[in-house]
Amino acid sequence: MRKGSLLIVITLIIGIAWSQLRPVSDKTDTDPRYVGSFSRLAELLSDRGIEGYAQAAGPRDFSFPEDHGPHRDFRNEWWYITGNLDGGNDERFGFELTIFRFSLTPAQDHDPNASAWRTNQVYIGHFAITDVGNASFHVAQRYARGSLGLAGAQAKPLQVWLEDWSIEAKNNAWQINASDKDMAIDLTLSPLKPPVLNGIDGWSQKSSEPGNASYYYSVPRLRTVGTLQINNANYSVTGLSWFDHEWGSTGLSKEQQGWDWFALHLSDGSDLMFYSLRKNDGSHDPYSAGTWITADGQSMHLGSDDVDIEVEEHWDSPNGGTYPSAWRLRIPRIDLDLRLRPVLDAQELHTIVRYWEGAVDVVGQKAGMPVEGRGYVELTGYALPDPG
Amino acid sequence: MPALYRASFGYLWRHPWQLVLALLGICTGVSVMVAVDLANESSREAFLLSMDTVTGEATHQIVQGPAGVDETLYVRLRLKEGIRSIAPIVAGYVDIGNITMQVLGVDPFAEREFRPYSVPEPGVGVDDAYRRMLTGPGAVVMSYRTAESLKLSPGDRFDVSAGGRVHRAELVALIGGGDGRGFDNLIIADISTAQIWLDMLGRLTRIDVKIAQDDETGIAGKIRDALPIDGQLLNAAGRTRAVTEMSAAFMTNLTAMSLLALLVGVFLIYNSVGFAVLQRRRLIGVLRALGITRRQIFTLILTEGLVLGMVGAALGVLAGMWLGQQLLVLVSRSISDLYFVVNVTDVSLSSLSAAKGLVAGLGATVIAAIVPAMEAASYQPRLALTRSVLEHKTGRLLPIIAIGGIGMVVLAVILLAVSGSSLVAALTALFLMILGLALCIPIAVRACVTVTAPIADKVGGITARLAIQGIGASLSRTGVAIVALAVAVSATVGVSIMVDSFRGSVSEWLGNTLRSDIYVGVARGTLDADLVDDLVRVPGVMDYSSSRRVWLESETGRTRIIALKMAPGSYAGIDLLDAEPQDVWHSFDEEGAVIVSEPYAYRHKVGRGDTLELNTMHGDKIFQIAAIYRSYDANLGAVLMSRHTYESHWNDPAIGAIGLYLSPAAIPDEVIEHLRKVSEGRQSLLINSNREIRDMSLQIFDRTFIITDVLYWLAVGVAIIGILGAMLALQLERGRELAVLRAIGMTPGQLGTMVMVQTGFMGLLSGLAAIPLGLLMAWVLIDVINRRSFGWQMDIMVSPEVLGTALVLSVSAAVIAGIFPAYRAASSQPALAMREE
Repeated sequence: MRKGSLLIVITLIIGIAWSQLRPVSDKTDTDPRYVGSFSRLAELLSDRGIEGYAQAAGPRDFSFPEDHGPHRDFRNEWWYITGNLDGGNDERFGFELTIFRFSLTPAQDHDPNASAWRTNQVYIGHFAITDVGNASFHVAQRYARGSLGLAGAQAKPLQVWLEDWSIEAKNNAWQINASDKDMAIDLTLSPLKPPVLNGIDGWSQKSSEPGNASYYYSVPRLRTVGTLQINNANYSVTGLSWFDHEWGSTGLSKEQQGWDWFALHLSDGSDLMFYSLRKNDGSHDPYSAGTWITADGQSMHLGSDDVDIEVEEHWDSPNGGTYPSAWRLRIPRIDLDLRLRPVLDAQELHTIVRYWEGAVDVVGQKAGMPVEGRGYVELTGYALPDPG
Repeated sequence: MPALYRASFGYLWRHPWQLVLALLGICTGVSVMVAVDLANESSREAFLLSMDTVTGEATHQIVQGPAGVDETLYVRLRLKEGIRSIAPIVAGYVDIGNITMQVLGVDPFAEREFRPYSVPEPGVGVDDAYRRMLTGPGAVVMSYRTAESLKLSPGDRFDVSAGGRVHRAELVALIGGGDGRGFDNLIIADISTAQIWLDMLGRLTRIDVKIAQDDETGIAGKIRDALPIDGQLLNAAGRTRAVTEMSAAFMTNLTAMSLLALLVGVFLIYNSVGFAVLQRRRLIGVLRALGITRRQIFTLILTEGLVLGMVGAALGVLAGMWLGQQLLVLVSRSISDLYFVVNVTDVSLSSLSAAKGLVAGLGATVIAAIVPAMEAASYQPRLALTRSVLEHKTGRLLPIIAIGGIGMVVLAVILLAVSGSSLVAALTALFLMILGLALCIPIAVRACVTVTAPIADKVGGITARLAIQGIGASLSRTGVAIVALAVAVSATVGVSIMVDSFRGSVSEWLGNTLRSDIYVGVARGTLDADLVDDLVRVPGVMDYSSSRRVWLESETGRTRIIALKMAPGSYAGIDLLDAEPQDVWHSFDEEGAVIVSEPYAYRHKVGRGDTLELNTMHGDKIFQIAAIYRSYDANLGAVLMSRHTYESHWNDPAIGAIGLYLSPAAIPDEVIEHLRKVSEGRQSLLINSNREIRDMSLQIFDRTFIITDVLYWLAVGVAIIGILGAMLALQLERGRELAVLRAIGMTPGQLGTMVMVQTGFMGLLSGLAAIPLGLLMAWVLIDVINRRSFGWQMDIMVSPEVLGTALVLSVSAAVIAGIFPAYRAASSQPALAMREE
């Protein structure tokens, strides 16, 4: 997926300039500037300005917990947590907490006389809760400079924070906290499986262009316990979460338009991650890929040809743009046949860039046996960014 | 009735000179008033607008001590307290070439709620403007207009200097579309750049806070709990107000000056309308005989005045707008010199100023026209035909007018006595006094004429006697002209004496205060501590004093604090007003006592033995006041304390300037040369000798009073126009009399001379009347107005020159005004003139 995040991050930076921090205007989607900006995104992302940054040129050795921490030589990086939660009285929730890190320049010069505010590190955070029972979706966004402790990341012990939003390692578990006006989460995540390296030993190639790649691993299954607050109501919640960490310095290639990313927890203990890159002409990019993880933590790389995805329904966003909203996902190699459906259609994030990231329900069959599950899906490139 | 009005306007139309002069009088008076109002308002507006821009949506601001807010407070508020509607600000001034710019250092990520316009838009700057702003030291954005005025385009690099250091800047983008007025002379940079430029590493000028009206979430309380003991959460609007209030007295004084011009204008209008009535006494008599009622006559004359007033005031508003533009430069420069940096490029053509001008013009006309209108209405049908009756009546009225005048003066004195420290009351009293004394002038003129006529006869013969008696004989007309000129000239006397006294006092004070031989400071910044150590070790330097001037803010306003490290020679430089040195300095040096400047003492009504409370890093502390000292430097007043006292109460080691005392053998120029060498490449310093500092201070002083000069010359201009109108009308009206004189053998030359002598004598009388009036005005200006405005006290210094100039001025103004009427009188054809009658 997180390919897509590249897009987001860069869009974020561009977007801050022209959309986010400006006064609200009544520009519509027909404003050629926005249309232009969006269609040119791939171009903006492609090559420019990556010189001087470290490149994901080939496989590397991962070592934990060091690699949970930041990799500031790379231009982009993100820590991404999504999960499905249940309250004590059959309440159902989904949540997303993402912190993006972005290096504005390849290297930070260390001028001892510089202001403590000076930094080349920018952090952006997205926090969303899906309240299934009330059919409501809540989003918050933050950004801060990576200096003076306003935002930052470190490996030992793992700590990634953006003001008072944080992901922290504590007692062999991860503590995550985030809050906004009408919502908050305070969750403890305990990994049930070790980290899984995606792509080739964690090297995830995104296109045929050499170097257009990232390092990408997941902790696919984390038992999640804690509290969730929404509209002044507090819930004790439990569930499963998915953690992704990816870094790199490049973006989409010119021909790529967006992606669909799936991360699913199945009832038999197995997990599936797959991202499908879409080309500008709507066709399926052969660099799409994924990982199949068995209940005992064994992983298997999935190529583009291994997975067959059919969109069965669509949802029209009230703000324009049409998203897929039901899928049939089949992996003949492991005899998997699943149907995915969002718990709520309207899980679109109106942040700097507009995208859909939401909880889904899964039903289907594996090797002839019924299986069900829950997961998260991310859809990008379907809608124009919000004006202003 | 329409026929009546036709007759009336027909008359004015046939006497275009009179019409023009009347209009000119009203127009000039109104225009000066409108101009000053516009200049004041535009300066204030520009300042408020730029304050609005930099304040943005902030409702409150956190400030802390003189050195600024510790930046970690901001992080704490955001991370620990979870307060998100806050933004860190580092603000100050830098120079680009010789233009002073305000720098606003922001964290773009915190700006959205406060100043969304401070962040570049796409397509208006270099690629990546936003990224450059964050990461490139020196990257700035500014408005289109500011960039245009500096001749910069995105991508251009330029130098800014601040605190004696030069920094490289790059314009990366343009902001603030539209007219961008609030952005004039404002440059916005990332906070990391601003901290370096303004030498504020680790500190913030303030933290902007946005608190909703109801403050449901209790942010204000949370912040107050988290503040360090010397931190303050202040209302943003209140802070702006405190700054603008500094200049309020200055602006009020300018307004008063402009009203003076209007007052002179009132005399003119009275003059013009009065003449129009006098000249038509025959017509009015006939009208009355034909059955037109008093009421109708009254209405007619008043309507005439109103129409004149309306046209004149409208023209005055237009002229005032032009004049305002010219004055604006002077006003805004003075405000920048004295109070706060303001850059005004446009006159705000406020309809309020225009309306004020119109109302004042009309009001003045009505007041001025009422008396002549009443007089016209009072004419008996038959009596109106004889002129002597009028003058006789005027003669009878003179004592009554004078008594009324004296009554006004008494009223003014009472007002001064009971009004405490109200500036408006003082100005009202001043006007009452001028008006009252002016009303006494005609009776004095009559007395003068009675006394001088026989003397004139002996000295200058019949021509002179006729000239002088003529003044007394037509007092209803000449009186007003004399009064108008006298008032205008007395204003020059009063203001000159005030300015001279002021300048003299300031000059003396500077001479006494500036004790060091060489002064070293830095433009918009503080001296490097290391550099100070090196500077004071330069050979030839015997001792030094240092000073640090800061503002201390609190709920109740701002206080100027001056911290002094004094050399033994410095003590005598402070002129203590209410205590003996031996009683003061020990407690000042050793016991933490402070001394306050005269304006501070006046404003806060404190003196030796009282106390004052200041917010320090240890919380609110009480300070003993050991004395009041004389100072003309900060008109809101200042609190002076020893460096030691300052450092033990505020964490601010910075030094603003030092004064060096040289050993007797040292050669100042060599020492200065040496000082420059020591500072080279470290900080560019302002090094000045005692003499230079003194000259520069007086230059600023003089610059401030240019506007005063301009205003009183305008008043004189109004008066000259008035006397010209009066003389012209007088000669026109006396056409027959003059013709008779010609017919009985007076030569054109004698006639011309007679008119010139007459106007010259009127000028002399005006000048003589202006002197006591001017002295009185000077006293009120110095001892009442200045004291109430600024809290200063000064010695009145009257130079004979000023008085002599007043006489010369009024005589020459009158003579200039008399030239044309004299020429007309001399060239009139007696036969024709008599036939006309």
